[in-house]
Amino acid sequence: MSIALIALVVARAAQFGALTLAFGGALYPFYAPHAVQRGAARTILIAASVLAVFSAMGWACALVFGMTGEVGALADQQVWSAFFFATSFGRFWLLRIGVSAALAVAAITLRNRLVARNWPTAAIAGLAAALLVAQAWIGHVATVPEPWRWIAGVGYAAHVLGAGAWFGGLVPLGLMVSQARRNNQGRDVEQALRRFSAVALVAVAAILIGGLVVTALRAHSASELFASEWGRVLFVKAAGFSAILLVAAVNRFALTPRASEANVVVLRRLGRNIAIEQIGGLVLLGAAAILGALPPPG
Amino acid sequence: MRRALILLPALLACGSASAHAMLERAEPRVGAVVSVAPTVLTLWFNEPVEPAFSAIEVQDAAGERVDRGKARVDPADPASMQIGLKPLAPGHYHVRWRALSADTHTTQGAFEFDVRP
Repeated sequence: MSIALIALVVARAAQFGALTLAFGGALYPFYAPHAVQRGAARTILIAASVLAVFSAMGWACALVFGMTGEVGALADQQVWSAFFFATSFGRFWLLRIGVSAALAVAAITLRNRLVARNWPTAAIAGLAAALLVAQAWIGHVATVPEPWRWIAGVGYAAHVLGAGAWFGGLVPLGLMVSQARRNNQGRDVEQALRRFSAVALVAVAAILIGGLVVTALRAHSASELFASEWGRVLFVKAAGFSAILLVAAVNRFALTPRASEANVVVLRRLGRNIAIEQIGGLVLLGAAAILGALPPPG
Repeated sequence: MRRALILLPALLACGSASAHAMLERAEPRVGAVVSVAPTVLTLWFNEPVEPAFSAIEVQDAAGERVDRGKARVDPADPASMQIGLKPLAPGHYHVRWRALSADTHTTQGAFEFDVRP
């Protein structure tokens, strides 16, 4: 793996992580408004929004480095001018960096009103969602032939928004559970868990259907998929996703009904399983970043 | 569910995307021996390439550039890229290409051809 490719994967993973946290974290108070640890959730939202700007710029730098093969090109105004104005994707990149900056500025200036069921939080969720979906225009989806490109775009949008809602929502949920454990108060946790589970169910369906559509547009057959490096990373990602689903099922069916008891053991197990889901989500985002850098089969 | 089962094979049957520009053919052909010296070299890829970051370089056996500078992508066929050549003497020629696709991925490759009247 070249340095340019490693830089690209790291920047993409940071961008995916930042936008997932921003979108899922900002969406959370709209379905669990009474179960938000506002201080910590706000700090995470601002940090994620700032990371979104830097990772977008890092991603663009990694691309220019990979395209030219020279680190010096990063300081060459002509190269950047060609990148932004002489390619089919350059204007999308300008817009992307601009919207990322708007996300960070909005998160910082509106920080006192975050994270609640209000328009500043909705604006953060909307900007992060737009950036997640717009990745389709600067990635593999951009090369899917018409008329399938729009179907791939819709599938991609469902996939990334589902992942954002689920994995991004796990962070404020985890904060809530750990707070409840300290306060010995489980009623709000049970309600938040039930609402999160309903959202997660829709999110899982979106992840699966969207992922299936995008994969179907990548490969003609399963054997072709198995034969490619892209396909093998995808299978690892799918296996990881299945494992996280199992942990989520234990949370939903075994632990959530007992959360209102405020039993220390139950809350501790819930906290541990949510942490496992969060770590699993990070691994999946890393796998997604690698997939974006590898050539799909076909 | 039944509709989903019908849709999936339809999606599988449609043209999938390689997402990286791969060389499909070249004129002069890869490894060809041509009797008439070509004045242009054309490469065809499996998908459109971005002119700004795509390039072709042709060198003779001594390593001297024999192309006429910047490669050009045909606006009517953005999957093809062409470069003019200086008058070629009989000999062995080395071609190096670099192509950027719309998904921002770069591919590169090389091949050779001979001119033998």
